[in-house]
Amino acid sequence: MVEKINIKLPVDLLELTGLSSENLEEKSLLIWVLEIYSEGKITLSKAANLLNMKNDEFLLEFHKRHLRHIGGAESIKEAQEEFNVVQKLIKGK
Amino acid sequence: MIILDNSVLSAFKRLNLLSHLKELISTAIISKEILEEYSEHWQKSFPNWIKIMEPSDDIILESSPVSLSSADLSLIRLSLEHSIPIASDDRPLREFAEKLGISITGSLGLLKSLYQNRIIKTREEYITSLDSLQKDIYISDELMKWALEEKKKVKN
Repeated sequence: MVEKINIKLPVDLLELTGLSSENLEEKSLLIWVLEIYSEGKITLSKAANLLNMKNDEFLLEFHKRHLRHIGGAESIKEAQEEFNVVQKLIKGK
Repeated sequence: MIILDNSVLSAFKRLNLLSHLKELISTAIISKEILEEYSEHWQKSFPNWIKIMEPSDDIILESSPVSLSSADLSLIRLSLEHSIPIASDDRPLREFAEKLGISITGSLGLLKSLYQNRIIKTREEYITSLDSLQKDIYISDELMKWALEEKKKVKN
C-alpha cells in the first residue's frame, strides 16, 4: 500500500477543468509524474507504477504531450563508453 | 548478452528496431517483473529472442533509491548475478548501477553500434532513427554531432 499525502488546490479548478475532485486528483498526479519523469528524476517503470499504469500506457500519455525526457548519456565521454560497452559485447559474441 | 530495461526496450520497439538489435547482440534478457509492466497486447507480441529470467533470492540489495521501482531493482539483481551489462536510458537506474560497478549502455550507444556495424545500412535510415529517438531521450547538439561522426578509416 502506497502511503499518501493531502494537498490543497483552488476550488475554481473544478469549474475550470470540468473535472470532479477525484478526477482532478488523478490529473494532478499525472502532471506531476510526467514532469519528474521528463526531468529524469524517476525511471519509466517507477513513473508508470506511481500512476498504476502499464509502461506503454504511460508512454502514450508522455508522447502525446511532446515532452522531452532527460535521459541517456549526458556527455560525449559517457556516450563513447556506452558505445564501447556494446562493441566489447559483440566482439565476445 | 545484455539486460534491457523498459526505457530501451520501449524506445527500440517504437523505433521498430528490435529485429536489428537481435542481429547486433543475439540475446537479451529482461525480468518477469519488467514484462508484466506492459499491457497484455504488448506482452503477446514480445519477441522470443529476449529471454525472461528471475533473479536469484540470494542477491540482496541493502538499500536503493526511491526513484527506482521493484522491476528496476530486479534488473540490477539479474546483472549482479550474471555479470551482464544493462542497457538503460533512465538516469536514476544508470547512476545506481554504476555505483554497484555494473557496465551501462543506452539507446544512443546501441543505435550508433547498429549503424557502425552496418545493420542499419544507410545514413538516411540512421538519421531518421536518431531524430525519432529524440522523442524518448533528449539528445544535445554535441551528442548528435558525436552520433553522426563516421568511423575513422585506418591509413596503411
